[in-house]
Amino acid sequence: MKLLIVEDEKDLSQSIVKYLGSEKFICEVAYDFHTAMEKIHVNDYSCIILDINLPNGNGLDILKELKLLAKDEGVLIISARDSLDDKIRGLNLGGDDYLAKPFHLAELAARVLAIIRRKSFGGFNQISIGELVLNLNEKTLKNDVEEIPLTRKEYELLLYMFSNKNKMITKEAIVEHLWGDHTDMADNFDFIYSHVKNLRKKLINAGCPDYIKAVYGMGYKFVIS
Amino acid sequence: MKLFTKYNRINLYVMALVFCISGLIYYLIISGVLIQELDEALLRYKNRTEVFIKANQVIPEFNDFEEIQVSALKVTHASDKSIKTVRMYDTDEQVTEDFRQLSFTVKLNAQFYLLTVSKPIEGTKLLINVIAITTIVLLLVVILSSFLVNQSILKKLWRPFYLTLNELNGFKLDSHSLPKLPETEIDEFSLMNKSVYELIQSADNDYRALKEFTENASHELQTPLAIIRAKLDLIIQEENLSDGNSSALKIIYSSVQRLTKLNRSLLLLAKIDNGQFNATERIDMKERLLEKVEQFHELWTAKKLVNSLDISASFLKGNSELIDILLNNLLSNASSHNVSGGALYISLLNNRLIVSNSGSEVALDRTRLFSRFYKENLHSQHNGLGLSIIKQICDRSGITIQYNHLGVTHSFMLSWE
Repeated sequence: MKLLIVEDEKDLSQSIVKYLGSEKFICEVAYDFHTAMEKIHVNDYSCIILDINLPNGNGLDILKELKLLAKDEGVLIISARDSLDDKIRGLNLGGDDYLAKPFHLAELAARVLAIIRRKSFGGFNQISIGELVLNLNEKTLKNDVEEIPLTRKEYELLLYMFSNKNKMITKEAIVEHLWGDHTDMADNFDFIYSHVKNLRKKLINAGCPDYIKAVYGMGYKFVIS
Repeated sequence: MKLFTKYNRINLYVMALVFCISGLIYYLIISGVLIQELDEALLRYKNRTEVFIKANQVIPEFNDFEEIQVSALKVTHASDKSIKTVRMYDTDEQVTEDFRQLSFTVKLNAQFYLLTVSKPIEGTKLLINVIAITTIVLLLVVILSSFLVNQSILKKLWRPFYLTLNELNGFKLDSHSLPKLPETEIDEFSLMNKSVYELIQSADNDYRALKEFTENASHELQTPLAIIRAKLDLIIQEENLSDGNSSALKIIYSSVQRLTKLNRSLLLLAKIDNGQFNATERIDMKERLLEKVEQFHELWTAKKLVNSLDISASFLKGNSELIDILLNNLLSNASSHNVSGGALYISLLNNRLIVSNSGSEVALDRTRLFSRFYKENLHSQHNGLGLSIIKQICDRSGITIQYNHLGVTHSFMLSWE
């Protein structure tokens, strides 16, 4: 699958490439408006990560061009000018999701994967990892034999970890993903710990290996080969 | 005190004083003139007497003089004529009265006679009455006329001033529109309006510039923050970090997180200021609150908080996103400033939401509570913007917020129409 990252800040776009890039994803980068226009004409992408403020042009015009070309690429808009107008206009012009800078790379990855899943499986899909099957429509988790009951938050946490498998996700990123931007939990991350502990217990009880590892006291990693 | 009242009062005092003084002066002048007339009459009488004595060589009989009392006394020597005012008994009118008295000596057959001629000073009383009445009447006329003038002319003249005052009264710097000051032909008022307008305009520009500065600064910080965060996200993926490095990274990570939160809060405040959340809708507060309670439930369990809820149906007209942030902030505050094993109480009833939590025995500083960067504890991990965001959203949404403290319970009460 191919991703296009349209972002003029080279440091940021390279970090995104490094985080998302794997044998599964091939990432291309465009640092300005013209390059991005050229690339969308030539290639097809599974998802485009699009910054709105670009040298020589506006990211929203790229959205319009995609519409004109009748391309069905998923688009995740990223913007430093976190304004409601930008968000609404971007989404109206065919953007699939909107993420304000600064963001956690884990969050970006989760959003990109969600877009790709929506686009490529027509909204009907499931993810299997090892012996587990996560049904995204029913929001349920099953192993070979039975359903493993999860709370809403546990389900979201598991999906977040699936989307960032073998990557360390910090507690801060988890809080922001599960509770949103404007929740001021300050220094209190204990509840994340109990949350993860519960999820881990449920998975182990269902007969899975211990996938979730704590790393450096900073966060967790869903390890699967 | 109103300008007109003050003006009228001063005017009244001054007028009363002026009229009293002028009445006194009238009285003195007129009575002076009268006495002079009397004196002249008395002198004419003296001349006539002297002429009579010279011709007839006898002291004239003094019976039949109307009002005038005359007496003749034999004296040993001549004295100068004198004229003075005396009090005497008026036999005709049977009252004691002021008389003007002229005394002079005449010589008849080597004998000196002292002749005294007295004439009542008539009309003084009348004069005083007339003057007093005139003064009072004139005073009343002046007061009445000045009252009428104030009512019509002054009010009309000062109209532009009051219009300006009215406009300024309802003006707020963050209202996005400058006041409309009235056109006027009066130089002073138009100068005043011009100055006021320029003042407001420059204040408005400064205010806007300041706001834009905050917003731009926050926006400019987003990109470097995004880069730092992305790089950190990559570094922490490294498998073999030393203990020292990983603990340093942990601190860097949480500091960047705080910086991001601070920046986000500042941006949010700027956006609320700029009216970017103006779209309103009818919000089911019960539904929203229950949603939030569910979200926070795990956090409360982790902190071992005893929560009691008393939530019934209530609706609010406001911006959906802002109300979401408001509830988030209220519940976050009540949770994170709570003590382990403390209590948390949420009540929603008849357009009134109360959120209380256990905390310290010391009340928050009411005067600074909602100001930006207010912190009870300087080393707190909180950025001190949470309550000012709450306040700002309440102001925007027509919600009144009140802080109460009793024992160890801190509570915020929100009420709306």
